Amino acid sequence: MLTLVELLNPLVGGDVVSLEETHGGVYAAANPLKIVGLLTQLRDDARFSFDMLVDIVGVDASGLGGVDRFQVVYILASTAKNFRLSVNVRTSAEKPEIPSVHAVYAVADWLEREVYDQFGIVFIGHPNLKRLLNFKDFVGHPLRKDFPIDGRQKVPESEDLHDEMKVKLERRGRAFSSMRIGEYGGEHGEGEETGDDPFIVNLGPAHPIVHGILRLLLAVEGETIVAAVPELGYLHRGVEKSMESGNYHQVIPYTDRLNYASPMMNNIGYCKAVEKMLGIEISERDALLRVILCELGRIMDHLLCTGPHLVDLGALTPFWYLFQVREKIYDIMEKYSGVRLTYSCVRIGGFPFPLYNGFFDDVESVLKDLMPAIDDVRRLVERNRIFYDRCCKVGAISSAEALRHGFTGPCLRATGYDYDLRKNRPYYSYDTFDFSVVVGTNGDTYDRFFVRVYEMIESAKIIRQAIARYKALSSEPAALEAKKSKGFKKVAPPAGALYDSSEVANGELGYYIVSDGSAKPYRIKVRSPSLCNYSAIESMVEGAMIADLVSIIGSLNVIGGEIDR
Amino acid sequence: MGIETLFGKSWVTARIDDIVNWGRSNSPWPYIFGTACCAIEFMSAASSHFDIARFGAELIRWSPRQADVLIVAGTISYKQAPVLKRIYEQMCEPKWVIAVGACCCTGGMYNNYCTVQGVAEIIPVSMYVPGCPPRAEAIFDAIVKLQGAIAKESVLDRA
Amino acid sequence: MTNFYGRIDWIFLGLTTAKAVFAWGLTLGFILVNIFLERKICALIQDRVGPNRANILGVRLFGFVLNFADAVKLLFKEDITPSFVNKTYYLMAPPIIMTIALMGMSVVPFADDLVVGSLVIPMRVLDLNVGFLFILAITSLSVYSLVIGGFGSNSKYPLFAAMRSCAQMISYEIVMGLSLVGLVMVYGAVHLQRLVVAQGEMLFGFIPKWGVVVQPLGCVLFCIAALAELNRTPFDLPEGESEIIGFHVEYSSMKFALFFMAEYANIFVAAAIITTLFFGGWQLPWLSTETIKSNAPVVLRACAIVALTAAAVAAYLLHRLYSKRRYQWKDLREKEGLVFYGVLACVGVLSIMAMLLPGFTPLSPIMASGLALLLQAGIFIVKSFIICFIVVWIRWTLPRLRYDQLMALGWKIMLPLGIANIVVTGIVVLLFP
Repeated sequence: MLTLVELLNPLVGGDVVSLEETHGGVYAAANPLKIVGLLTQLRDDARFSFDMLVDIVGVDASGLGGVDRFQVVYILASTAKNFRLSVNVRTSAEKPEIPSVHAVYAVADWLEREVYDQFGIVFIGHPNLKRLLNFKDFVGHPLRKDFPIDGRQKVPESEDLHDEMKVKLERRGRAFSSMRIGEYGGEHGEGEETGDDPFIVNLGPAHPIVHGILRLLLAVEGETIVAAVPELGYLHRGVEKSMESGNYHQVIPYTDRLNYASPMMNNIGYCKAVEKMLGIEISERDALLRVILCELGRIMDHLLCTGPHLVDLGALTPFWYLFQVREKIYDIMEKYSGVRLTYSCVRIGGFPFPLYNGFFDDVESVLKDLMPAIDDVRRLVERNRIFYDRCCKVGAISSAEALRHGFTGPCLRATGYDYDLRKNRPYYSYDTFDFSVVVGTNGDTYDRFFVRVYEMIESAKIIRQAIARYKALSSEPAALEAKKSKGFKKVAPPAGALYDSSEVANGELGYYIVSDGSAKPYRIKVRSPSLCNYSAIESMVEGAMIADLVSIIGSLNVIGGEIDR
Repeated sequence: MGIETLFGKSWVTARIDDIVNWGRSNSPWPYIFGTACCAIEFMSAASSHFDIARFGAELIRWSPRQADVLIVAGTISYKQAPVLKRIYEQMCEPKWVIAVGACCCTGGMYNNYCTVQGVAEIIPVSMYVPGCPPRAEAIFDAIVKLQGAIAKESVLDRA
Repeated sequence: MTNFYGRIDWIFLGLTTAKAVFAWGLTLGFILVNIFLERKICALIQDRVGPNRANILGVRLFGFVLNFADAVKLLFKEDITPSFVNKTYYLMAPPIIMTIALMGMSVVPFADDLVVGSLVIPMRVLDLNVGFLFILAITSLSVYSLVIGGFGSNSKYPLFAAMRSCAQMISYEIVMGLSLVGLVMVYGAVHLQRLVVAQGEMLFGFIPKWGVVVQPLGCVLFCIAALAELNRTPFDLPEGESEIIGFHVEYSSMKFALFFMAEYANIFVAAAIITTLFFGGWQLPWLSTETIKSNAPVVLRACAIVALTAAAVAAYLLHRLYSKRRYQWKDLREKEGLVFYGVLACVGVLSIMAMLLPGFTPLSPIMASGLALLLQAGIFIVKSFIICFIVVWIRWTLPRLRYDQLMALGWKIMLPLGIANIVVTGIVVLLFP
């Protein structure tokens, strides 16, 4: 069994410029002009089979040294062989251009648009190089180091997206005609003769299905969707820029608000990454407690996904049953951290507070209440013919397509592909727990829904085992490892970069942290699972009906804080 | 100018005020413009543990023309601002706005290039609910205080 | 309304007005009841409390008073007519649907014919001999309201809703009609009064020959089709709240209130029709009008005892409810119990008076007829209420159908079943006359 470094060594000197292994990961520097060929080779060669592009990170390296100003990092994953590789290229400030890899990995479409938006790097050959998060006419590129953090620009009105729709419809052999209100009949004069052009409808950000943050311009024919143009960025809060303005501890509250359905998982993922960069190993007891909190977060997130999904389908009652359990978890976390929703309950190196007396009893009672709630919902829904018709074979996606779009988490596992970071790349001794990874068959909405339901049951198993182990280690409340010294230690990881990820409820949440040796992070990029899951929306929705669109978006669990950051 | 202003400032108008304000304060149909974490807290407020339906705010209308109270919950970015303004303008009088959460009150912890520093830059706000996110009871407190504020209004104000 | 001599028949005019006031007042009153039922049942099913704060001088009636608050608020809301709508259609749509609901209620008999001397007064507003054909015709007009409202709004989402509702309602009207053909074959009548009277007969001596007993499949088909006509979940596509918001997106204030109220009025009208056709209408099982009239004193005493028991049970339950409360409001809501106890006390006193009355004076035929009338109207209202309850219950249990699945259900499953029902009923009627 050759390691990745050994396998890549022959490539050095050609497409790959240099290779190094630090922090347990492999980092390769490559020639930007050859990047497409390199990535294609890495994807197709059976020795490597890097089938997933995890993230594309842009870095403004003007404060780090080196000749070229901009650095773009491609983080690749081989799910079959369990390799991880970061390929970075550099491009100059005068002519920041890199060939686009959207033909190699479909998810690069949006990831490259984001790098263009935030840094101004042009990706040659990209089909639609438009800003992703900021509005169309934004001046400047926010994540560049010379862009002021409060360089505010007001937006006069929303974009109508007609240009993108025109291109899409032409590609499908249809004509574009936009009807404005009043143009067909009525007192506003004669309407245009539109013949059989598709009808353009805006499913705007203020709509119940999209939870206020996504926008889709649809071209429909009757009720069937011919083409869809998504628009993001309505909840873009400049998190990554704000993270650079404080120290490493002050980043933790920002991570809470990324996936606000399960905030503790984001906190723990971040602290895990920084600890890895510092080379800190937390104690076994702290690791067990983090596992318990993560699994509680997973249960919370899945409850938040399934409840509103059913409400969008018209089944209004299960939402209330499921939320009762969420309220109980809120109560536990409130007793532990003082806050109901955005906890910031972990610190780099451990925990800030001891467990309160009765924490485990409360968790046990939540798990006991979880099963009846799930059973109630399953009784109402699992064999319900209407639910079956609304969800089966709706939004089906194959594993290959899902991997091309960077799917992870329940959305990937519902397609039948068994990939869970807890088992494939275990951390905090997840591989020693006895639980199964829930895998679906068809990748449709029905499977995504029930993968989440059964994952909640598996999480309950893990929590019980973790509690038993915790109690076996010691019967005292957790010692405050991080508070042994007075106050917070100064956290200043050595200069360099690291990518670390964990399995959150939606999939793989990763943090790419670049440090320049100081106490302030130089660059933190959040690898958002919801963004990659949502990137396949255009292909999933084509040919479906509007009622199916509701079902699909509800099952993908799009959390705006994560997508738009 | 409706028929209710026929009597000008008099005892009859005061009694009409009482009845109309009673009706308006006891059935505030919300339009929830929820974007981020505060929307999750609003969902908790609507859930059975807290139950916003007790205040008559059960019918969450998804058409702004039928709603009375615009509850803005979550960070508003500059991209979202035209949308919010348009929704507010489509609502029928009388309308009130509750800004839920620190991001809506003052921009919250996001003092940067893309976040509106307080929804009051865009639309007039009746109630501010601080918190990040505020508890569900804080949202109820805002509704109860809004009911108190409505009770002080008069039909002549909007004539 | 003119009699043979060309003069206006004031008695007829007066009686029809009284019946219209009762029937339409009942429908409008049931709007409030339906809205209250919806909120309260929704709350109970979803494990919460529901509206309990709106009060008039402390009396909350378990949340019923909220209806009045809603009505007052909607009345005084700003009435916007968007500039882009087609004004004629936009303004025409809301009144249509309310009118149709009331017209549908006009032919439903709420009690047996009242015999006062030589005058036979039919207990329905319109005495039409086409019976439920009139109802089918009238309810098919309600499509117009949704379509005109949706199309006239000149906006894309209401247009979707209009398209969906048009297709849905037209498809399910066919099923509705077909499911009733079997009923005509069994009872041999289309006139609603004759249908209800025919349901008073006995099958095998002890089972009342209600529509649901002789035509179970027809009943199920009709009930499902009626749900589709009402635009209630699982068929609430035109007002698919989370998808296209509904056909009433551009409506505000009183016009929206008309749509809102018409939906609940339609629920009552549909419940009344289902009761009339399938559940015996105003019939009390095993008790015909003649039986009641001839045994009036006994019936009166029995009713009085029932009322007294109900009042006592209600008073006990209220006492338990109020004594369980641990907190003190220190305002008028504390006095709410007194109002309830007062009402129950009046009911009790009236029941005792009714119990003692036959002992003092014999009951005249008019009083006996009046008693029968009250009983039958009462049982009609109770049956309709139960069906309204079931309709609301279904809303909070089932998810929504997709458009093509709904059409497939109507055309591919229910239509063949309706035709099969007709064939089977025909065979059975021929074999067992």
